[in-house]
Amino acid sequence: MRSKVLVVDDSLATARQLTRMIDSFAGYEVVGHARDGLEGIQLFKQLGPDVVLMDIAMPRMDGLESLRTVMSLKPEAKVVMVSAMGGVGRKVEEAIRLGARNVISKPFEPSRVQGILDTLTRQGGDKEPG
Amino acid sequence: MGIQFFGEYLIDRWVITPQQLLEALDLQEYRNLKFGALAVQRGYLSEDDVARISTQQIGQDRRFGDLAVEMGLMTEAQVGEILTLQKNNYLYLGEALLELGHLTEDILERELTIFKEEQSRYGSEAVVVPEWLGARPAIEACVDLTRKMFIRVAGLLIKTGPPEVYRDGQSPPDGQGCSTTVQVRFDGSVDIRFLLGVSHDVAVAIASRILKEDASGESLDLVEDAVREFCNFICGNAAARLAQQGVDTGVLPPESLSQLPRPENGSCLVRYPVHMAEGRVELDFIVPLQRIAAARNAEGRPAPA
Repeated sequence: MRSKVLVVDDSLATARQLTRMIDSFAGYEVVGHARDGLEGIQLFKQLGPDVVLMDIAMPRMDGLESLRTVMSLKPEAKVVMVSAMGGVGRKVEEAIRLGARNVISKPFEPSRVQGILDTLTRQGGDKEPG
Repeated sequence: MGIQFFGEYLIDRWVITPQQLLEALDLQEYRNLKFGALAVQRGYLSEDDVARISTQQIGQDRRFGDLAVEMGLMTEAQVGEILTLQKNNYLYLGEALLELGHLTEDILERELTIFKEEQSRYGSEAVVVPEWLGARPAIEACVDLTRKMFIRVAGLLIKTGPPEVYRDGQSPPDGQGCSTTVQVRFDGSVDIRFLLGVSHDVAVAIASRILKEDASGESLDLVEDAVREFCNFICGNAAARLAQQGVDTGVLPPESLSQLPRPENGSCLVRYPVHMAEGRVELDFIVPLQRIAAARNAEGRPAPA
């Protein structure tokens, strides 16, 4: 059974890149792509993904606002923020305080994306500090 | 992987948990008093003075201490004393994690070494920014990261020339040959607009590298979207670098423009001529003039004619 991944990003190019990358990893499939936070919440409810990859800066509803709603709908949801602003400490802090499991900075490396997905799905999302 | 802050890196490496990071950030916030709070503690400023300076600071790219001196509330010696106090007593994230028992010294040392090595790839190379111009660190970071991202993401080598400034109704030569122009606005304490124009062949090259396939047959919408995302990489990473320097900023989603905007009254356009073999690229910034005036007054320098 493949783990279902939802991509929420206003960039079509990034969504396509992530979709191809994740579909090529064994054990994962991208089940949907939302282009803003509002659509992301709708697809989250409809598709019940195992992991959500969410951009921070998006039109209509940004990633942090969308994350807040997703966490209120399902507190155990596994959401990873994917953003070019990943290195802005206060954004990371805010995302983690809201319940994000990790933050990936753009441009990203496939091995990093796969590593994070593997850890989240294999360990039920609990992190083991090492 | 772009620019990261140390806490994010440690979570990424599964060295600490997000909860442990939050505990360390809370400890830092408790221990690392702001300039104003320290000045009140030493009896140099009242709470009202701090509020007045903070109000002045809104919309100005100025340091708190500089404004306190300018407003006649503190002497330069007092500002120097507070800055030294802040520096000497600053609790770094690694130290906070050690104090909380979330890391050992060995692990901290190992991870810091790897982190610095990885981040050095994004270190700053010399960029010429006029001395009288406000928002210098932001422009410097954007120009430097534009060069780096062109090589790392798009596989294209570019060189930038010295900046040209257009103001008082002047505008640069028409962006002939640029099929796509993207604008990214910074927010928070940085009030500039980043503008990147590229010719169609450069746009396709960028899209091909991002999509990891030949994008020459793709729709114009998708190619343009890839250029917007490329600008997002540049500006998001510039914001991250500025955050590492203590500047509070972020970026808004990139927008496509039909043409290069003229600087409105109260702004100037700064152009960095870009040289590349594969096509045409234009790199511009729109900077409000009040920032220029503030920087000029602070430094006692004249603005250019």
